Amino acid sequence: MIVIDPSSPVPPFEQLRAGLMDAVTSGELAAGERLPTVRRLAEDLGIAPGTVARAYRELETAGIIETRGRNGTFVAFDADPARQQLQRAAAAFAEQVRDLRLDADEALAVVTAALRSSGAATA
Amino acid sequence: MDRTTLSFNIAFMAISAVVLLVVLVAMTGRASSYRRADAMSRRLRLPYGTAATRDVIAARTRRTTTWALLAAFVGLCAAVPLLTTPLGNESYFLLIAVLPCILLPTAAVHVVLNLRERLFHPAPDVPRIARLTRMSLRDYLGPARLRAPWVLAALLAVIVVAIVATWSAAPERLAATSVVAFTVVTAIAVLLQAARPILDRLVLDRPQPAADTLELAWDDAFRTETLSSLALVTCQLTGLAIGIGMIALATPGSLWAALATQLPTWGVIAPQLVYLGWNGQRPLLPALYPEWLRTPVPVGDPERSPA
Repeated sequence: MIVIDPSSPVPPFEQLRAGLMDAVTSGELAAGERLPTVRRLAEDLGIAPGTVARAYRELETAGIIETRGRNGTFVAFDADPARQQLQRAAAAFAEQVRDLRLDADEALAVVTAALRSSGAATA
Repeated sequence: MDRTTLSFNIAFMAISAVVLLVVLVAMTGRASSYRRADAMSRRLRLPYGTAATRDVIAARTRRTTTWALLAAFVGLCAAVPLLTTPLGNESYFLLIAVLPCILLPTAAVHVVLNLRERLFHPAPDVPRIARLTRMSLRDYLGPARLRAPWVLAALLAVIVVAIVATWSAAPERLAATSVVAFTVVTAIAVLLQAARPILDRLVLDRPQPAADTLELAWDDAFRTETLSSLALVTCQLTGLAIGIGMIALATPGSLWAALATQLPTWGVIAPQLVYLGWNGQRPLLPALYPEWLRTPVPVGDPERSPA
């Protein structure tokens, strides 16, 4: 979720850019997740489409998000191939957890246990 | 010509029209719309937050009910000329002619209202909230309700192949009225199957202006209702076509033929169980609720109660 406060001294563009950045760094927005279109986000937040487009452009330049032609704008995967593969696997895992309608905490506990047991086996 | 069946069909349609008009008068009152809005709030376990939100929900509920009932009445009237066709003498006339004429306009009302109206209109100076991900149908319906129309479409494709094969090998095995009914309902079902993804996308792409997470959740509730009703009507008409196809394929007089006559009814009822739940109390998907409403809070737990 993102909140844009028109009465804030921080301009809407900066609120949006910072909000998107926070969402990516906190994990609220996972790598590979699709962002709303510029027009849709602008109408939802009651701001000009140019403001959203500018925030998207800046984040794209910083490598946080990427535009894939007509497919839309997505949260970028990490540049490191190993991390990229990890993020793709995590995205697929998260989708499967959602499909199975399992609890996210339970899924995380299972992953932690699996990582610990494989770590103990290789140690 | 079977006069008894025709008389029954005429009587049933007349009674349905009267009932629809009575319900229309009874349910479009102001008090009634608030009662239904409150019932929706309890069913979804979604509080209003403010009195203004309750007014908005009641007004929307009132408009949806009024237009849906009017659309159903117009659909019923549109089905009247079909009584003069050979279908009017069939015992399943109500299923194959009346139901599509009622279900389609009702679902159309949900879509049109969702596309034309914005639920909330936050003032320019209040904070606005929005999701940072592009929502898909899966986010509103979940995997089972998402796949049901496609599973039924695949089953219908198999029935179509079987009917075409039987028609070309032994046309005398298929009753002409069953084939006509199957063709009409299948054509409607196929059109709906093709149009639904486009309509879904139109609904999903509509903006959701909201000042807080509760307003967003209420908007999502109506959006879920619209997407659900579209998928439901698609499943019901596809199920109906499958049932009629099975009747056409069954050998007359056999036990299978007797069983097959029940299928169109189940083709309409079963999707309702999938989309509305066994008791009609299906809540929203957990992710659509505000964070503080996702986990039930035990009564009297001051630490976990929202402020």
